[in-house]
Order: sequence, then C-alpha cells, then structure tokens
Amino acid sequence: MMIKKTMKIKNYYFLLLLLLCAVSLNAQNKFYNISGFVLDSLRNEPLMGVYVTTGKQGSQTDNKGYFIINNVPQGNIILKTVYYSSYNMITKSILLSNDTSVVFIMPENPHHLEEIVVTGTRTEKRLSDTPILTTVIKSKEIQKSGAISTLESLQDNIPGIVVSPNAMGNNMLIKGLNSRYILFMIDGERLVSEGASGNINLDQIDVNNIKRIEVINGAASALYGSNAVGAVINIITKEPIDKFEAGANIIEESNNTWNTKIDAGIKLKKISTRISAFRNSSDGFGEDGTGAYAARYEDYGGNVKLNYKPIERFNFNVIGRYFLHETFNVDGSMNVSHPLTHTFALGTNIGYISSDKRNNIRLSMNWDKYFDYIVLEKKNNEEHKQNTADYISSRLVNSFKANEKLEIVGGLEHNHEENYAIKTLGINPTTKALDDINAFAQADYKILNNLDMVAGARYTYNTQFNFAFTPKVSIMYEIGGFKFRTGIGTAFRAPSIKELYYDFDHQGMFWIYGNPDLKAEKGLYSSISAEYIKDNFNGSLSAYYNNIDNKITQYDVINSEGANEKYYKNVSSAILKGVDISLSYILFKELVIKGNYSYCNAKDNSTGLQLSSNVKHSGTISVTWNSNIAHSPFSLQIAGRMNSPKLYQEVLTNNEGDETYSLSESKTYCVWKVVFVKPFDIKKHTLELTLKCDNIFNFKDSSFINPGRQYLIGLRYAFK
Amino acid sequence: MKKILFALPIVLISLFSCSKEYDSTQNSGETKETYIDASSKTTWNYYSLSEKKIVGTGEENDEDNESWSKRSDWDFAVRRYLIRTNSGASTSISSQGGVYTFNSSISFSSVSKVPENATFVADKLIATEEMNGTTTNTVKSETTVIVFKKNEDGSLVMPPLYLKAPVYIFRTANGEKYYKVQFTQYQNENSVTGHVKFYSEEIE
Repeated sequence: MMIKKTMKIKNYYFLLLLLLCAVSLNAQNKFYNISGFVLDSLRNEPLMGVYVTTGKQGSQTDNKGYFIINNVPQGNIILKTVYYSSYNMITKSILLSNDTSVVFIMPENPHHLEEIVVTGTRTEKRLSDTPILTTVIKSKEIQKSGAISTLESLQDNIPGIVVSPNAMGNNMLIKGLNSRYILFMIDGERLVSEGASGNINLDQIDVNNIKRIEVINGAASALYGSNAVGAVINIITKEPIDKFEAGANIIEESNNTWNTKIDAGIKLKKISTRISAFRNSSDGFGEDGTGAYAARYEDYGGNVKLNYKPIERFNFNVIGRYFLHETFNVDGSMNVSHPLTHTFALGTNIGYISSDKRNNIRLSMNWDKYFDYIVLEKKNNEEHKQNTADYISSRLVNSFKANEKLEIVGGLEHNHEENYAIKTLGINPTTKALDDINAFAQADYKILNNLDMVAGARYTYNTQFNFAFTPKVSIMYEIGGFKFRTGIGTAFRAPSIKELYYDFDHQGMFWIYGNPDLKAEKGLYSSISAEYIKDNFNGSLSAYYNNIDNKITQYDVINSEGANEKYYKNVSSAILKGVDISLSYILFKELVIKGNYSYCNAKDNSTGLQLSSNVKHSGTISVTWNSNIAHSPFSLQIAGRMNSPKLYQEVLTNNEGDETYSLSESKTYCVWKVVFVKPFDIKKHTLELTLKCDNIFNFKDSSFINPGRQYLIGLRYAFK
Repeated sequence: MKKILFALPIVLISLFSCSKEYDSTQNSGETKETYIDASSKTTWNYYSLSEKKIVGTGEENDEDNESWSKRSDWDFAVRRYLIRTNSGASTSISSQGGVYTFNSSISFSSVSKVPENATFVADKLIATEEMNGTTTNTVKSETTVIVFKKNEDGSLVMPPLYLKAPVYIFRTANGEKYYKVQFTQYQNENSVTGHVKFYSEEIE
C-alpha cells in the first residue's frame, strides 16, 4: 500500500517535471512563418525568382512574386533579398513574434546588364559578360516606344537605317549595305531572302511576339556563315511564362491602318506552348498626286511554339510560322493582277544536357519557304505562282564547358537553298539549287578574371564557289568600370541563286544574265570598343573598319542589236569605316535618356563615291518619362531619328519629254514621335492604352516614302 | 398617255446605260474597240483610225522609220506602251497628226467634240537616259499607252502600277478628222504585257 502511494507521488512529480520542461522549451523556441511579396518598384509588378533569406533559411518567389519561409524561430530576424545585381539588395529587420507578412519593393537599374543574350557566342551569356558588343532591344522598350512593326523597333534603336519600301518589301539598308549583307534570324534561324537584293519582309515578324532583339555589328560568319558581313540581327520571340496567359491587341492608325492580334500560352511542368495570330491592313497613301506612295495591303500571320521537357536535361521544340502579304492596285488602275506572297517556316530541335552539365547539345532543322504569286483579277482571282525560294538548314551544335575558364562551341551545319522561277531563271520554269556544308567552332577562354578571349573559325564547302574559311578572334578586358573589346574577323557572302543563274528579260526593257562563275564576297572586319557602366550611366564607343572585297556588281553591255544586257561580276570592293556611340542615362529614377550616334564613311572603291544610300551621320534619341498618376504608372516618350542628307537618283523629265538621271541630295532627315502608354493592372488582367503621334513635324522629302504625320491609338489586353 | 408610256422605257434604258464607263451601246454605236498585239519590243504597229485597222508594221530602225515617215495612211503607231503619231519628227511629208491629252478626270463618254484652243502635240526625238548613263533616242509621242505611277523622286513605283489612262484626241494624218481614244488594256488576262486594247470614236 505504501509503495503504491510513493509510486503515485513519483509519477505525479515526473509528469509535473515534464510539463515544466515542455513549457520552458516552448517558451524558448517559438516558430513562425514569414511570407510576402517582392515587387518591381516602377510598375508594382511581381518579381519571380527572387531569393528571400534570413541567413539560415530562405525561399524563392513564385511567378506572383510570393514567397513563404516556414518555421523561422522567433526573435530578431534580418531578411535580405538576393536577385540579379541590376537590382539593389534590400534588407529588412523584423522582430518575429507571430506569423508576419512583408512586402519588398525593388528598384531596377534599367541597363539590363543581367539580360541573357545568345547571338555573340551561340550560348547564353549575361549582357555584361558577353565578349562581343551586343545591342539589346527589349520588348518593354518596344512597347514604350509605340513601335508597331519590327522595322520601326529597329529604326528606333539602330542609327543609319534607310528604307525604300514598295509592295515588294522594306528594301532596308544599314550603312549603305543592303539586306544581303545583314543576317536576319528568328531565334537563331536564318530567314529566307526573297528578292535579288536579299530583301526580307520584316512584317512577317509580329512585333508583339518579340521578347528581345539582339544586334551585333560586323562580321560573324564564324558562327553563322554567309551574309553576316555588316551586321547580325537576331529576333528572339516570346515564350510562355505563366501557367496560362492570353492577350489581344488592337491598333488603329491614320490611313485606315489596323493591326489586330491575339495570343495564348500555356506553361505546365513538362510542356509549354504559345500560339498567336495577327491581321494587319492599311489603305496605303499617296494614291492621288505625285507625292510619296504606298499600296493598300492586307497581311495575315500566325506563330506556334511548342516545348516539351520530359526530364530536366532534355527538351524538344517545334516552331511554326506563317505569313501572307497581299498588296492591291489603286482604283481604276489598268493592272490586271496584284502581288500575293506567302512565307512559312517549320522548325524542330532537340536539346540535351549531359549529367555533369558540361555538354549542351542541340540538333535542329529549320525550313523557311517563300512563295511569290500574282492574283489574276480578270480570271476570277486565280493565283499564279511566279517564284519560290527555300532555305533548309540542319545543324548539330555542342557547347562544352571544359572548366570554369573555357567554353567551346562547335558544330556541323548543312544548308540547302533552292529557287524556282517561271521566267527569271530561263524561258521555261526552272529550279536551281545550292548546298553548303560547314564545320565551325568557337572557344571562349577566360585568360584572367578580367581578360576574356574568343577565337573561332568556320570552314565552308559550297557546291558553287567551293571553299571559304572565316576565322575570327576577339578580346575583352575589364578595368575600373570599363570594358574594352577588340577583334578582327572575316565574313563571306555567297553569291545568291539569282546572281548566279538569272536569265530573263525584264519588262521588255533589258536582259539580265547571271554569272555561274561568281566567287564569294569576302569581308574583313576589325573593331575596337570601350564600354563604361556606372550607376545610372551606360555608354559605349566603338570604331570599326570593314573591308568588303570581291563585291558582286551588275554592269551593262549593249549587244549587237542595241539592246541593254546586264551581267554580274566580282569586281568592286568597298571600305566602310566609322564610329558608333551609344549612351543611356537615368535621371531622377524616372527619366531614361538614350541616344545613339553613328558616323559611317562607306566608299565604293570602283567609283570613289559613297555607297548609294549611305548616310554619313545618323542618330536616334529617346527620352522616356516613367512616372505614376495616383500610384498608377504611365510612360511618356519623345523619340527622334536623324540622318544627314543622302545622295539619291532623281529622274527628271524636261519640257521636251527627255528623261535624265541626276544625283540629288535629300534634306536632312528628321522624324520625331511622341508616345504615351498607360497600363491599368487589375489583379491578373492588364489593359494598356497607347497614344502616339508619329512624324509630328510632318517631315517630307522626295527621297523618303512616308505619309507624313500620323496618329495612332492602341489597346492591349493581357491575362496572366 | 401612249406617247409617255412609249417614251418611258427609252428614257430608262438611256439612264441605265449612262452609268457604265465603257458600255459601247451608250454612244452612237460607232465606238470601236480595237486589239493590237504590241508585245514585240522592236516592232511598231501602224494604225489607221479612219480605216479602223492596222495598216502595217515596221521595226525600230532608221530604214523602217524613214519609209513610214513618207506615208500618210497611218495615224498613230504602238510599240509596247510607246506611241508614235504621224506628226513632227515622225513624218517627212508634213503629215498633220498629233495628240491632245485630257485631264484624267474626264471620262470617255463625256467627250463629244474637240475643245476650243486644244493644242495637238507633235512627235519629237526624245532622249531617255538609262540608269547606267547610256541614252536611248526614240522618235515618239510624249503620250503613252499606260501612265506609270511614279514616286516623288521620279522613279517608277515597283512593281509597275498603271494608272487609269486619260482620254486622248488623235488628229488624223491629213489633219481633217479627230478621234477620241482611251486605252483600256495593256496586259492580257494572264498578266502578259503588250496586249493593247483601246476604244476609239470619231468626234467633231
């Protein structure tokens, strides 16, 4: 009996002790959750992927900017945000005594230094680390500038662009070089060129689908092959970011110009897809009178992107693109037909990353095809095929990270080019084709912490002109906030099928004959640049010298019947030398000032004259004011483009009816625009209003095809 | 009452026919539509308005030009889109051909007589400079089958855009008659150039 009583007392004390221990333990270690949001300071937009940490624990924000750190012991906690270095780190001190909610507002340094770029090295690199000087045009900048076409977004950011648009395309020139000397790519795949001067209709790229544009000046044939002589322009298209996203745009501009577009995207764990469709049309202008003229047109287009990632290291992609462009004659015209063109592209690629993450292999195939038709209006709108052009590119690329200092990209590529024409390659419908196979490699070696070297070469075997070997080397050196880059590289331009095999009489006015013995044009490009970044300022200065040899030119021969015949030969050379200056400055956090200036002396050595349509001095400037009205953001931009007077051919008819050509000088080209963008964010919906007045000072000149001052209103809807 | 009923359909018919541009029934019935195959780059097709037919062809060379300049049986000639009238530099026997051009807003049906003080432009030796600097000299009229739309710098809009042709008045070689002419076609239905069609009708 006594023992039982003692046991009971002991149990009671033991339990009491336990209880006391439990209470004291609890009192020492209380745990709470810290959760909240991280937002961008300018637009109150959620920032994804920001790491919020207590020092010992942390978590990343999701696509809504939301984070939660569980079971944080109570007490004095210092929270820090870790994100791209372009965002300043924020520290918050809290006394944790219950579940707490925190909001971080992070200001961005808008120089986009942490933006990933790919064109310079065919691998992903931060803009601040890439050894090749790259200009990046971001989609947000395109939106704030009110650019409604891909061409306009290029003109806003690249000085010296001259366009002579007609129903057949933009006929774009940069530094006096036409589209044959510029490599245009979408997501790293070359676009098929359409006309003899390599014209590419950039309207096939929906400007709303652009994630960013990367521009590299000078020779890049080591990585990309033919045409990368003057510049490389790589348009990177959008990918879905949210689980489900959708959007629609509608824009109206003067001359009954309407641009409409819809898009939708899904991003699931293993599969993501994005699809978009657009319709653009305009009445054109200048139907009456003798001023600038552009035909009425109707365009339709669509894009689809599919990505499948069954495991982390493997991805499979499919892309498809379609574009239709139809231009019409003026009312009452005597033309019985009008042009209609289709372009379609189909591509697929597979990527694999090795288990040690050192090898990143990609196998891709891309087919781009262009169809040129005429619509016979008197035959029930029957469509007659005139020409087609195909470009099929197959490639195997591996990027190998040997160690922290050395990365090598290498690959094999096969390209097939084919043209079909009913009368320009011979009296009867003819198909001509060219093939080339290539092996290329480029190594990126970090010699020292602040010294980087890139060396690469491409070996091309072309069925027509045989061999081309294009090496390049460049060095980047960083010191005291400055980045110095210098390099020398070679490039080539393969003669086009048209230059090789043309055989037709043009409108009964003259004959054109191709030359199957043409050699490739060669370019030798050397440049030196300095880039300086500090706080709100980002500036770069580069000087270049581009020697293009074996340049293919057309020349005339009067035959025995007195008729004019045109031939091609590798006869001339051109030397382009110049200086490019680029500046960006942020004032008072709200005002972004950007400017570009370019001086280019482009001389045709055979004539001693400037390459036609080269402008010696050109520049772009934009001032964007990002601010808020009652905590609601807006942006107001004034932007201008200037070109010094250029020489152009004018056809003059005197009283006697005689027609003569005379070289005239245009006025100084100066076009300004004002753009106001006002987004409204309501939970997951964004509605954005754009108001724009283009060419506000109504600049007009005989050499410039533009309708004068235009007004635009646009509405963009997005759901995320 | 009967007269009114009888007149009514005639009035209605003429009202409807006036609304169409090229309806040949609207005129006195003498409008002629002519087709000329002018697709050869070197051949002139010589046409007589009074005979309403092609009277012959000649090549663009000094010999043929000279032999046709001595003839009075043709009023105008067509080679591709170029026109030659039997006047000025195209004639060596002082033929009185020539052409008057109306403003492009004037319609074919609205022209019934030669305007007062109309000046008829004679042919000249016209020099056309090519882009390469060479010059082609041709004896021809300054009028053409098609009017090309030009850019502000004088170059042609490409691809070529043929504006609505104006109404012309051609004077015959003997200088006595006048015909209104409007070119209606330069390309056939398959878009092949050089297949010319025009309406012509004698006027006072």
